[in-house]
Amino acid sequence: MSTNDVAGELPLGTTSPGWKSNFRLGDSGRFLIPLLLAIVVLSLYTGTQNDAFLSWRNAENVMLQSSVLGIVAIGQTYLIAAGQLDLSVGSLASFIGVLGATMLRDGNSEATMFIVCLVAGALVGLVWGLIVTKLRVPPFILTLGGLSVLQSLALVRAGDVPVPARGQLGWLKTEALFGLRTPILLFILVALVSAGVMRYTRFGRQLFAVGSSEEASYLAGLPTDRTKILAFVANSTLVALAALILAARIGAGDPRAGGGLELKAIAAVVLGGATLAGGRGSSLGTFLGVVLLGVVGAALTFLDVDASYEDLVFGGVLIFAVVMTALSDNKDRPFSGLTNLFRRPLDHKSSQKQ
Amino acid sequence: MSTQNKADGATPAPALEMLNISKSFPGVRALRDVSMAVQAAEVHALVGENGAGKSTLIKIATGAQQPDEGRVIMEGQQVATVDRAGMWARGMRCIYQERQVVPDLSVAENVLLDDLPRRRGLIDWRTMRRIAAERLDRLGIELDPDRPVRGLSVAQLQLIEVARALSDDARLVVMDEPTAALHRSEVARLFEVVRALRASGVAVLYISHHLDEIFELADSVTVLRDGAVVDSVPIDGLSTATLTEMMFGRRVEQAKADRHPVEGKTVIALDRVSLPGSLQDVDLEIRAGEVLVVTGGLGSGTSELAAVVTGATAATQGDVTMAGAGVIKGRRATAERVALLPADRKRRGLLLDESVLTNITLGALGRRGSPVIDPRKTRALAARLAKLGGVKAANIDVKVRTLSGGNQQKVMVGRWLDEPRDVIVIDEPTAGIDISSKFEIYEQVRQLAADGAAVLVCTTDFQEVGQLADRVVVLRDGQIVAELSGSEATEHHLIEVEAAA
Repeated sequence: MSTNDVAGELPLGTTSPGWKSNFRLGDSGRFLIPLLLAIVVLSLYTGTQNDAFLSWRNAENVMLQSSVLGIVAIGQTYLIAAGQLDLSVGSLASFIGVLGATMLRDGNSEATMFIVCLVAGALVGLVWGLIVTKLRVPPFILTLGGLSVLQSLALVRAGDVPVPARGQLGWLKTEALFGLRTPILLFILVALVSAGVMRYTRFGRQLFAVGSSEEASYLAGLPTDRTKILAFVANSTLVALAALILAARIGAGDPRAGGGLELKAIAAVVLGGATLAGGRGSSLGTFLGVVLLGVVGAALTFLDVDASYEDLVFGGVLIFAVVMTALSDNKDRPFSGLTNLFRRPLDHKSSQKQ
Repeated sequence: MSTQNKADGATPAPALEMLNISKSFPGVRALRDVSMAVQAAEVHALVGENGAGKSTLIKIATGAQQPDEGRVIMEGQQVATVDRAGMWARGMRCIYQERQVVPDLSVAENVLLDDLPRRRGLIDWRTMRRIAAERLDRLGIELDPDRPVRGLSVAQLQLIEVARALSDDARLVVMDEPTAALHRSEVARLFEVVRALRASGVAVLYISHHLDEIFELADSVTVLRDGAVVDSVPIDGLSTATLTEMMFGRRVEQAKADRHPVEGKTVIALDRVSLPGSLQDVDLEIRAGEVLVVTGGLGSGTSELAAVVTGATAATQGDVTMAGAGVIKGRRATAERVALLPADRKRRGLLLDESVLTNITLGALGRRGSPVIDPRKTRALAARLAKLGGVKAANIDVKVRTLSGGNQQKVMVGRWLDEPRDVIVIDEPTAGIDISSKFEIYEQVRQLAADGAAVLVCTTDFQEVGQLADRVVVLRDGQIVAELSGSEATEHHLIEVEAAA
């Protein structure tokens, strides 16, 4: 029989090519609405308890508080989409902050410092990417090691105490365009650009393909190694940017400032609809995940909840989100590829038909 | 065991009865009012084309899924909650199509994974080794029970899976395509074991795409089509033609072909290519306009050859050269010109949880091209490729996981139809695919060659060699032992060639 006979039965040609199909939320999209809803409901509720909550000033504050974590989390989204992970981002942020502050202390211009720090960040990602792809080391363990190494380097470089950078980098924390402060603007910009990259570029689509099945992608001819390396580079460059914002805001290069950032970032990414197995996630999801965490934090303050409960609430929100996701997911496949992160990466050269 | 033949004298209740089973998935009515019975001490075959509902019915019979409606009765007792534990406790054992082994545990542990022998609550290693060795012996395989499963051949893994089902408590053994990964001699041994099971009163529900196996082995057969039972009849008196007609609702014609090597330009040449443990000094030319079939038994190196030709695996010795590109290094170097359809579609070919759209445009995504992608164009491309490939799906946004094997393979074919490719390499094109889809795929493969592509098919299925080949190369232990023309390559002749030491 000819294939045309079969094609004749297909309703495939009838799928609407209109704007709807172009702007389809897809699998990651189903997370956006619940997240938005959670943010709105929580804000409204807190607003009824405390009038000051629903003010421009507070909204600005929440976004300002969220911007560092937000940029780091969006970086992590690139990696998680590709089934990778970077646990060293907190330490890297500390290190870059210290590097920036010491460079300013030593009389370098802000512009030089800025460029050197971004390049240093990119290089760290390049190293991780090369080790993961060429030596086939699992990213989880590699970057766990990196977390210690970079933390230590930050402490050594800073001499164990914060390096002050007062009076400098003001442009990174004060007002900028559209009445938005620079960190907020950068956070939104990074989120939007990343959303575009993930959806409208070859690299972006390849990220998700590799995360979904690295071997199938490789056999289909995708540049899997390059994709993973670029994801590491994109991530650590964004971490460097976030680190400088952080240093500007606290007015110092604190060698401990980034501690714990990695776990919060991963939490936000997962909250935004990604799975650690790879192939899922979105920039806008992560953006909303970060904002939700920010709103929760602020709400706790405004509701006069004891600060000791903060992490309990954060943890609870995360667990609730992943349990809901698991419940709504297909139950037929219990232990999907989570093992990716702990296993040696695929060795195409020795992979056999099995 | 004591459960055996409770009602002595009276007709024993069927080992498994499924009554009025219905099951729906979003958008699909998978089973409609299906009733069937597997008698004790019989081999009951279940056949149907892909998408007929076989998989769903097997999942219900093994407790992996619950029916929406209907009852499951084992040996006269209704199973209240159909789940794996409940069915297992009643003596259901299943040999899955996808090999369910734990790579880092030992052979013995894998054989007895369901039921590790214990003494005073602790694992009884000695008993475990003994039982595992006994069962492996019944299957005629020699394996150290203490070695880890990792690194065993696909056939050995499959036999471990079979050994697992040979428990004394088994009352019903469900075998889903058990021979897919086995060599001819191992199949013969498996059949002996199946007959021995039947002789000892165990019921066997046997699922296979190979009708010859069914005629050789089964006592009766149930035919499914479009989620409903066509008929459930004794095998005696059935012919292949009537059975296929029941399966497809029409006659399936097998094309007879007289094919000979084609004189085309050499596109890819292998020069004394070796790969430790799988290929030895292979010289081969793949020519434009020709379907070259490389065949041989399991482990003969056919799959490895496909990997080497596409650059996915680097040869340790010898060169693979592509016309106009020199020596090939890496899959990336061939991606633009060489299409690959790997065996083991689900793991190595498809992004199972992604849509038809994503999967069918994956080949295009691997091309070099503008860094910016227009999702609208991608969508249009996907629709076009799905049509070209003959994919039957509700729309291009359904996940490929939900498609039948035949349709999944068509998605894989469609992936490479965006631009003409010089070489098409297909590893096991029709593994796990029903007859009607098979012929469509053969047709597509022939068409690709007619359009000027060099087509390399690697297969261990001797039956399909003659359907496809202009030229045939037979491998044994990684070496070329014969080269034939397509018309010489009958199944019978290939068996002789392969067996001749």
